[in-house]
Amino acid sequence: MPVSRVACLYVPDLPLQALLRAQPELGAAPLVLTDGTGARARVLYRSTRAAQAGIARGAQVAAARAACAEVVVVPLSEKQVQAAGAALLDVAAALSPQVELGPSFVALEVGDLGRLYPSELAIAEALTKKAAEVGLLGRTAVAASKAVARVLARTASSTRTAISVRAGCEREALAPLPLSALEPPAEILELVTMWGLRTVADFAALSRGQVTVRLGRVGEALHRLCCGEDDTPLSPTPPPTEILEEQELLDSLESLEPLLFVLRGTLDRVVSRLRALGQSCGNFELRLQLEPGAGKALDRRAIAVAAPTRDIPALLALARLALESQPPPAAVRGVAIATTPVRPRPVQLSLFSPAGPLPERLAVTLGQLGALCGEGRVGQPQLLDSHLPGACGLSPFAPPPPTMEPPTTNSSAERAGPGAAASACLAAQILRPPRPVQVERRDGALLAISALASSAAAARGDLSGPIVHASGRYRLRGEPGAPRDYFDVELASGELLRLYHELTTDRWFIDARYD
Amino acid sequence: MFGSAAKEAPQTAVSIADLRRIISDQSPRQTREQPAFSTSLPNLDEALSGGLPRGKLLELQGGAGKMSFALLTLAAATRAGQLAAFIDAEDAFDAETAARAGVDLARLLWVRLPQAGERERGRDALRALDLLLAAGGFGLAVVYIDTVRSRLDVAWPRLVQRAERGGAAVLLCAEQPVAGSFAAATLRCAPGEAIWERVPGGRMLLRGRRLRIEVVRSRLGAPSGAEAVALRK
Repeated sequence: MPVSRVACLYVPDLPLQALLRAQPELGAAPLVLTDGTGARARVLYRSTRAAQAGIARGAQVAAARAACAEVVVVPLSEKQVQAAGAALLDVAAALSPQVELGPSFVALEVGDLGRLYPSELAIAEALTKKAAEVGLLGRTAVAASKAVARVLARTASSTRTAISVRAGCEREALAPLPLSALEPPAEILELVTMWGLRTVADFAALSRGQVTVRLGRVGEALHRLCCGEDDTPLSPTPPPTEILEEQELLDSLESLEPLLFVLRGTLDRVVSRLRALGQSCGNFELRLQLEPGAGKALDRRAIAVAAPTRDIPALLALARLALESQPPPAAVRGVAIATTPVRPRPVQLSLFSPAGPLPERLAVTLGQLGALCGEGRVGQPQLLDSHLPGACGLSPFAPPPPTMEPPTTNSSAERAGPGAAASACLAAQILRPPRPVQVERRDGALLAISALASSAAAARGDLSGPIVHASGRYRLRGEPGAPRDYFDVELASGELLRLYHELTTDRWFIDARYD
Repeated sequence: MFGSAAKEAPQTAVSIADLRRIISDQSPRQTREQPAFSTSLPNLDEALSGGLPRGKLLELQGGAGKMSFALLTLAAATRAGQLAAFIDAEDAFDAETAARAGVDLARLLWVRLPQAGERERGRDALRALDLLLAAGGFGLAVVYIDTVRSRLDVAWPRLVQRAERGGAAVLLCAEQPVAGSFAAATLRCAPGEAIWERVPGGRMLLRGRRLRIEVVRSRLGAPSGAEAVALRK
């Protein structure tokens, strides 16, 4: 059984990084995150440039503006912080199933990753790199326990992004740190400072029994941590069922192009999380938060993706088609994209079989065709369980993988097979909707067809005339609606038509032309 | 000078068909890497140098028989494992007949264009064709614009180029020519007599129709082929 080893990825100033992840264009500006809006709001987090400009934590916005005129003030967004936390969880879940998400950190069990990585330092480096790929810059430490790894990751210098402490050396690794780095309760820190203890090593040198007598259980736990003996287990966080990325907008958007620009960034974050998980994007939901007065506050659109993909232009094209076909009813104040990670569809290509379209490209093309033709008008024809001739439906186009093409021969007759021409089928051209006509009859025999003056057939004028041959009738029963008698007729002009007589209404229709 | 040429003409008289054959024999043939789709009609395949050529636009005109011929080609393409598309400007496709004709419906994309004016339908059909050719991966695209009777002002060179690049055979089915000289070959359907059969009881049954398909213009070879086929209902 592998020895338990815990990696802890710590992201300093997570709310600030969450904001920069959503709006990377703010990275160059002096930036502060506040606890509200208005001049009296307090600064919670500040960027390096803001700190250099003399803006202190806890200062009011008015004071921050006085210190630096070009400071960008943004109120803290809980949704952005939650999304960043979920992204951290995705990064960790890609390496281990045992993951605990905490404030500004994620801890995971890495004791059994020895076969995948050459060293624990490599694991730490990989975790830091994966976090950077989802837009979060952090530091990772690997140690025997969660608390030790977390302390080491938090207190490491910003240039040291990966730390590994060998098993049994935790006490030595913690020893030079100031005692405050372990974040003890304030009263205990004050007391031991009065005793003249400054570092972890100073406190660890005390007798545990004496510490317990004087400081109680809290002091004992602190002593155990100073000795690197923490045994608090990981408290696993359940993996998120969906990936949700949101973007609140400072100004409402009324036109499509700026909205697509925002969507591009949001999709970028979604795809980076999917990539961290090794998954792809299937169908996704686009949620638009609308300005008040539109009748509804949230506009939800389900966007179908033909094949799971991580291709951002393809996903953006689908979102564009959905928005173009049905623009939002009001200005947009915020956007969100939610999707469920889907396993990428493996495609086995062959040298000898015809190549089909790329799934991503096909999805976009189907979306474009859907926008051109309307909803439910593009897909794979489907035979319906119906007696009515011409009844067919459409299902989503999901072609089977290409098959091996049969070997070609020189003779087309051989290729077609014997009697292929003889088996050619007389096709019906379905008239949708059926064209109402008048039929002249005598003693049950059909004599002539004439178009109704108001119908489209009248304009065309070629589906009427005397009938020279007719066959029928074929009564169709069991259909919902009126029973019908079907006939095949040949007009004097040579046209072959299929007619039906609706018995309950005594009306005649042409429903197909043999073509 | 013109007079002397006119006098000489009867002595060197050649038919238009001979001239076409001579020109076609002398022009370089483009080699096709992918095999053409057989139309299942041997004479027609021979006239088209092997069948429906990949990467080319073909036009099929005529009054009746276009849908039946289109289904023949769709069946050939899907039987070969290719994806095919039916761009339906008339909303006239019948899945039941297609299945009976041997079309693998799982490999067929049916694009049902909304019913609009003649020009709009023609334009939308070719726009859909453009999108499909740009996507690539389709072996055959049939554009069924039966009632579009006017020449369509679209970027034909672009469509031809996309078809060439994607290696897709394109069959334009219209009553009148719409692509003109941009089509590599023009086929014409001439419907023949219907086949009726008298059954016991004196009643008549429609059994099918005769159809003649001929190549009236071709850059693929001499336009001399024709095929008579009996379509069975």
